[in-house]
Amino acid sequence: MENALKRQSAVPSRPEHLPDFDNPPVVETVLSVQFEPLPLVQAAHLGLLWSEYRAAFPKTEERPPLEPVIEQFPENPAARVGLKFQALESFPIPRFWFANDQGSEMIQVQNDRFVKNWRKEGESHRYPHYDETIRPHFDRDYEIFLAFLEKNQLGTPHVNQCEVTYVNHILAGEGWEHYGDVDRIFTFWRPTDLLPPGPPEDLRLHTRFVIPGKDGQPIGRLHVDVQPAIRTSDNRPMYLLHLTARGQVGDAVDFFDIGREWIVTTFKRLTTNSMHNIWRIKNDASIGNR
Amino acid sequence: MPGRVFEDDPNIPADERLLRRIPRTWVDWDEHGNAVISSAAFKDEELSISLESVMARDGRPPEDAIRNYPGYGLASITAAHARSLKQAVAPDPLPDEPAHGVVYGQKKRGGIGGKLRDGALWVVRPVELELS
Amino acid sequence: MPALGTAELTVQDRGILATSASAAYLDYFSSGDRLLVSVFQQPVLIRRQRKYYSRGQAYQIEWQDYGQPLPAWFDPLMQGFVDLFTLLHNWDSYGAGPIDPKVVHYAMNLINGLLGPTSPAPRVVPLSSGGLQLEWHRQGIDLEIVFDRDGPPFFYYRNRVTGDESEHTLPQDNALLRSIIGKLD
Repeated sequence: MENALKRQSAVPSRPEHLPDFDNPPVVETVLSVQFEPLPLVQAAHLGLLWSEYRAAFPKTEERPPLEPVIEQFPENPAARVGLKFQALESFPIPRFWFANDQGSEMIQVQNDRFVKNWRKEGESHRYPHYDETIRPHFDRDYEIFLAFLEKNQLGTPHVNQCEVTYVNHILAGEGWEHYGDVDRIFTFWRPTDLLPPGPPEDLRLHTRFVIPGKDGQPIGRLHVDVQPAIRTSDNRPMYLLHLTARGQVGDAVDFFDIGREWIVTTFKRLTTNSMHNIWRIKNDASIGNR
Repeated sequence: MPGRVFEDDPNIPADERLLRRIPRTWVDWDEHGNAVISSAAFKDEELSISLESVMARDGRPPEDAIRNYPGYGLASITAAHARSLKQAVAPDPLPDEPAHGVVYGQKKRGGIGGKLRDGALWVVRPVELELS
Repeated sequence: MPALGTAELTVQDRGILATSASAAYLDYFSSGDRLLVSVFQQPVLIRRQRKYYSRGQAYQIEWQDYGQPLPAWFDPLMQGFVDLFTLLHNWDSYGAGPIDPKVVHYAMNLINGLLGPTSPAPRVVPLSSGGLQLEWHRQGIDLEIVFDRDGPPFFYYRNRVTGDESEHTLPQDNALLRSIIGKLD
């Protein structure tokens, strides 16, 4: 079987130049690979696939399929009509969820996507790191998927986009108190007491960054979202910091490592040193900050 | 019939008018009410036409080519114009149309269809109608 | 009452959203742990439909978008596609068959990604071979995009003023085509 992952079998160590934290605010990580639709894959096949994961992922559900998305370059801002045409008399193949009992890991699969979600289990648990756990487990579960496709002659995925997501809940009471304390959390905010406008009440931000490849040409985008939120378990205020890197390099999943590097580095650069101390930064690498 | 190959017939003179029926779906009306033919009308590799001289020999006026096609227009190009765009012009009489001929050659690429259209003249203009 | 036909569109061919900024995020577990305070929400796709009439038949086009106002080209373009569906056998008087619905669907999705909100609507013209072309003739420019069953789509460009003409294959030259269409505004 062709090894579409092209990765060493040994667990690689964390790149030393990447920031590392003992207690980062990350609560969920997602890796997603999107490929050209596999026309032979039907819902019944995806149900059969569950048997390959059932021991570790005994819970299953069906959901509507995710829409395909590819970062375009250039992106014409004027062309954002967002139309999609769909057959009226046929039913789209659903997305299947396979989840573990603890509700901390999930596989999402449809005929053009394979996604793996990890959740941090409670505040006291150590978050599973990318190099030790997240990436190797994704590789393992994706290989099971590929082997299933080959065994059942359902085709080989032609990957057209990869996506890495880190979701952070930055809780109030740890370095900041009010939603207006934006400058205590984020480096990009310059506070002013002068009226108008004075200090902010809260902040909502969506920004995107182009990720260049080795030749300088764009290979993807990093999407950063900041929003005020409340933790439902105890009504504690928080800022949601959501980073998604999406793009493609080559024909496999090499973009995962690039996306992760961009996310982790950008996370450090967009947040303040005082917050880094609260999250117990382990290696204050050469990446500059204020 | 697709798949046939036609050789140019030199007996068809350069000034022979080749008549092509034009349905309204191939016509656009500009803001002045002028009927403009789409290049799509001239993109068949085996493009069917009627040879005017054969129709005339049988006592049929050119308009006879659209006798059974109400609302259609009728356009003409010359054999010389077709040949200038590397097309072969050949007779291909049919039982129900003895004047049938073919302009044979690749037309989709290189703007050939549009250039054939550029040399076309109306013999009978179609009537503009609203589609229901 | 004319029968309501449905556009025969293939289910396997799913269009790509024009922008990634509003694509749904994939996190699930943590979204149940929080309540967003600000009014900003990720835009949600909604299903929309519209009826078009042609040659005594009614057709319904269905699509998904974010509820935004439709551009001026939308109705004329959809009407043009529906007019293709209602063409009968021998519509060209030379034995042409119906237009291939798969070609129509492909053309719908490709052109959706190329037109801007203020782009002029192209004419939708059938080909006797079962394909179609989208064409504009404006400001001395002839632009034709050809979709057919016998090969990849391509576009032909001619500037009647300068005499420049060229032909390009799609989707490789989508960017060039988008820029030419942008100049037709």
